[in-house]
Amino acid sequence: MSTAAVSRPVTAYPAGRPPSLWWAAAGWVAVPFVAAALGHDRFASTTLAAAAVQGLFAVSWVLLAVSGQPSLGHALPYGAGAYAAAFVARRAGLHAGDLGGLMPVVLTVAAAIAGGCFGALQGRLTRRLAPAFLAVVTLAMVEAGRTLATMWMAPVLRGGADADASIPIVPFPSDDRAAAWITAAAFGAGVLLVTALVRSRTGVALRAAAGGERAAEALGFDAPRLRLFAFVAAGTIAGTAGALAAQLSGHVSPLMLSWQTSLFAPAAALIGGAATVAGPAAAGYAGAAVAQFLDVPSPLQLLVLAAVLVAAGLRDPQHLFGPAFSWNPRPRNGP
Amino acid sequence: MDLAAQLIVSGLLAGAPYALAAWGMAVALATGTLNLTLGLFFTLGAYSALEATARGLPASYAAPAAALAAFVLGLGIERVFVRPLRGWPLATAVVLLGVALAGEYAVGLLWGTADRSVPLKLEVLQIEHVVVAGLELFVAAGAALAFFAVIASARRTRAGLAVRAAAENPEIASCAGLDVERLRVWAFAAGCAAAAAAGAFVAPITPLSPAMGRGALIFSLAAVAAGGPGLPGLLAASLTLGVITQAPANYVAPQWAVVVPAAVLAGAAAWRRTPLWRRAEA
Repeated sequence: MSTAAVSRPVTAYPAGRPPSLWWAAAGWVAVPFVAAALGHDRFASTTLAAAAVQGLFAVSWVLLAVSGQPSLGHALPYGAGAYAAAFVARRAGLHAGDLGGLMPVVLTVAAAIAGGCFGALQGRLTRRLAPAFLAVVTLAMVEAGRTLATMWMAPVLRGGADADASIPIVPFPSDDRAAAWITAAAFGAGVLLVTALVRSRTGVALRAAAGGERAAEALGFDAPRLRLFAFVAAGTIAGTAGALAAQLSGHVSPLMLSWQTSLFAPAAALIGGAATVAGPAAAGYAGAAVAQFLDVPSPLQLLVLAAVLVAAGLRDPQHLFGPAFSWNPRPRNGP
Repeated sequence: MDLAAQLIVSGLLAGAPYALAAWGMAVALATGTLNLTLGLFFTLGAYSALEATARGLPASYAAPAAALAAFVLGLGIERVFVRPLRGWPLATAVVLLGVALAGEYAVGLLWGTADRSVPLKLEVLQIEHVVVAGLELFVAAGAALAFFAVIASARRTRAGLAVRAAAENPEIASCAGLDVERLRVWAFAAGCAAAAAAGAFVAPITPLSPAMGRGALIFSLAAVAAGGPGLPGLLAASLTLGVITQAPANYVAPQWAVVVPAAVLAGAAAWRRTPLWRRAEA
C-alpha cells in the first residue's frame, strides 16, 4: 500500500488554530468603539447601538455552529431575555433610577438567566436530533414562542399586528451616545468571550462533539452534555442581547421572536464565515447597521435573509453552517 | 359530556385536511427530503380557493386545480433546488425554507399582507347536542375523500407500491429495476399537491394570510413526528392533534393552534426513537 493512499483524518473543524483569530477579534472589538466616538448625531448613535446589539446576538450563534447545531430558532433565548427583563421590571414595579441605578444590570442579569434557561430547553429537546431536524424543531419552537408572546398582552387578538402586543420597559440609557458606548462594550465583551471559549479546551471539545458522539466519546468528551452547554452559553449571550435591545428601544414586542430575527444570526455566520468569531460578528454588526440606516422594511429583510440561505445552500451544501463553508468552494464530490 | 363530544367532533373535522398535508410531508420525508416548502403550497392552495370564489366558482373547484398546479410547480422546485442537493439534508431543508420565505413574500405582493377570507355559507346541522357547521363538514368530507384517494393509490396502484418500496429500501428497489430517482421526484411533487389541496379545503374556515402555511408546516411535522410515516399512524396523529388543538384554539385563543403542534413536535422529536430524525453516531 502506498503512503499516498493513506488519507488525512477528516476533522469537523480545520486543523490548527487560525493565527489571526485574536487579531481579527480585537479588530472587531475596536470598530464599535471607534464608530461610537465618531458618531455625533442622534441617528448615528442609535444606529450604532442597535448594530452592536445585533452583532452580539450574531456572535452568540457561533457557539452553536462550532458544536454542529445549526439552530434556526436562536430568537427564542433572545426574545425570552427581553421578555424576562420586561416581566421583572413590571412585577417589581421598577422605575428609572431604582435599585441605586443598578436596575439595568439587574434586568440584564435576569434576561441572561432566562436566555440560558430557554437555550437549555432547546438543547435538551434537540440534543440527539440530526442537524436538519434540529433546525426545523428550533424554528417551530420560536414560532410557538412568538405566538405565546402575542397572547401574553393580547390573549384574544385576532389578526392584529405584533406591534399591538408590545410591552413598554424603562429605556436605558437615556443618552444616545452613552447607549452607543455601552452596547459597544457589550459587543466587545461578547466577541472576546466567544473567542476565548472557541480557543479554549472547551472549544476543542465542542468541535469534537460536532463530529459525532462516538468520535467525541473516544476522545473522552461527553457529546450530549457539550451540545447542551453550547445551547446554554449561546442562549445566555443572546438573552443579554435581548435585554439590551429591549432597554434601548423602550419596549418588548413579539417581533423579537420572529423568524426574521431568528434567521439573522445564521445568515450572519454564513456571510462572515463560521470558522472565525470575528466574521459573524462583523457581518452581524454591518448587516444590522445597514438595515437600520436604510430603514429596510421587515418583509424585505426576511427576503434578503432567505436569499442568503438559498445562495449559501446551493454554493456549498456539504459544509453549510460548518467552519469549512466557503462561498467559493472547490468542485464537490458526492455525499 | 356534550362539550367533550362537541370538541371531539370539531377537532376531527378540523384535523382531516391537515392529515392530507401531513401525508404530503411524510411521503417526501420517506424518500429523503424534508420539504419545508409544504407550508407555501398550503398557502397557495388556500389563495387559489379565494381566487376561485372571486370568479364565481365554488371553492371546492379550487382543490383539484391547485393540486395540479402545485404538482407541476413541485416538479420545478425539485429539479432546481432539491436534486442538486441530494444527500445533504440540512442544505436541502435550509434552501427549501429560503424558497418558502421568498414565496411568502411573493404571496404578500400578489394578494396583500392583510387577512382575507373565502366566502362560503352552508347550513348548520345539529345532531343530538352536537352542533356541526356545514362548512366544517364540507371541508372534512373533501379532505377525507382526497386522503382516501391517496391511500388507495399508495396501496392499490403499481406507482404507489413503487414509491413505498423506494422509501423502504432504495438500494433494493433500484436492484429490482425501479427508477428510484424518478420516484423521489414524483413523491416530492405529490406531497406539494397534497398540501395545496389541503390549503384549498381549509380556506373557507380559516383567515388567509401569506404566513398561514407556517402553522400547517408545523402541524404536518408534528403529525409525522408523533405518528410516524405509516398511513394509519399518520391519520391517527393528525386527527388527535386536531382534537387537542381545537379545544384551546376555540375556547381560549386561536394562537394555541400553533403552540400545541409545536410542543408536540418538540416533544415527539426529543422522545420518539425515529432513526431518520436522529443524529448519526459517527
